[in-house]
Amino acid sequence: MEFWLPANGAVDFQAQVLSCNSSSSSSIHLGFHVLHCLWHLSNMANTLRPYLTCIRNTLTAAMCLQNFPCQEVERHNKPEVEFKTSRELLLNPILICRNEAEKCLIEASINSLRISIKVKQADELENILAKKFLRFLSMRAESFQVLRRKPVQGYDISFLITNYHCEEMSKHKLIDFVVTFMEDIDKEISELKLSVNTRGRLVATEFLRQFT
Amino acid sequence: MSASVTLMVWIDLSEQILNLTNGSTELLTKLFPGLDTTPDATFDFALKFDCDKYANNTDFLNSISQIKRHILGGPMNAAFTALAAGSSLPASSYSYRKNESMFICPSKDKVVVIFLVDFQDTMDKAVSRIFLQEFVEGQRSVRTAPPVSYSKEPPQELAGMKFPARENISGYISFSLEKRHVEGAKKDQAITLLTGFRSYLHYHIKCSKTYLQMRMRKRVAGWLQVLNRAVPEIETEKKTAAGKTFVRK
Repeated sequence: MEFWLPANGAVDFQAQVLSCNSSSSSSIHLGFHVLHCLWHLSNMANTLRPYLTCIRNTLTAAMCLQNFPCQEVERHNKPEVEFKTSRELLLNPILICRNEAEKCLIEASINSLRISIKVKQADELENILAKKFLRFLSMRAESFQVLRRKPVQGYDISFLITNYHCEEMSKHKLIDFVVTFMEDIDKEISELKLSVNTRGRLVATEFLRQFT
Repeated sequence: MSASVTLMVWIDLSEQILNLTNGSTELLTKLFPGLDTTPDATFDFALKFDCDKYANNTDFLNSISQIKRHILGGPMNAAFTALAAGSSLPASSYSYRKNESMFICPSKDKVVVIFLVDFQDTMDKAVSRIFLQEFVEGQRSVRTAPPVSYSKEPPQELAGMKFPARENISGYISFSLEKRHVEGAKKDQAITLLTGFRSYLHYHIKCSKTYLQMRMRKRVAGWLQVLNRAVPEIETEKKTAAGKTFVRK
């Protein structure tokens, strides 16, 4: 099942709800939320705002996790979204795209939630900056409890939220964190790039001025 | 006391000394007249001098500390002198590092100094490309400076020259110095700037990277704070200064 949004003007916004082979009530609930916020955002001009709102609402709906010991192995309690031991415990993954380069995959299961983000990388420098930044973050995964050490394939960074995190932290603040992160990373990368450019210009001008 | 230097470019330079096209020897004999310049086995160039004799000679000591500039600047000096006099020398190339070269291409009314810039690291490469591009942009705001051009392909001037072609380098940056840039005292300034170009570029690329790292660190700390805000504060018993238990009602 796929939902395509009517693009508003030049805004290239699309959202898809993928792989609908399970029929659990939560997945319907999730689907409804996505549709609901899509309806909202088609009226907005800014593309980042609706993208983040959509993610925020989807996360709010998806983050209903409960403690769930493994069904197959006794005394194991592992995030189902990673191990995928039984199909009935997994919900439909949701892919929210701002454009081809920027997307966010939200995979939910009974006791865990995985959010994978692909960050915009327009040119060589942005690509390298993003890589460096995210590597920097992954090295600090220990202190960021919800950060996954390795991103899911095809994405730049992943978060893994388990029911334990939800019990320890307040859910809305956790969602706030993810959304703030997404908001900041784009801004930060373009600012870093700008700083390199500004510095380059200054360095070059000063060098050339000395010739005269 | 003796000062010894190892320079890759020496091999290139000494080959050309035999052809008498190179200006380094002239410059060095002019600056350090009558000094022993035979190096030890592991070095390329050496200067032996009496410490007592030159102890207060600031000019001499300065030129010793800038020995690399004099050696590398020799060919430039020769080319610029020729330009100022209205003649021109044949083009020459010097590989002053393993993967980096400098080319001096004199023509009738200008001398084009071309640097082949390259970096090992991809990050350095990307930043250097931005910087080199900015040199071209910067020339527009400093009208009187020598025209600069930057390309990833070897520029026209190098068409007749033989040098190992390499893929995926940072690029070639060329400074075209006209007569007005090398007249009088400007000549020495231009040589100093051009011989120091590589160090200048490297220094600023490193500074830029340091700044980026600093910003990233700061930003990550900010995010960590946002995440920590999600953990609810545990209510602990608060005591007043007098030691009484403070109960919020």
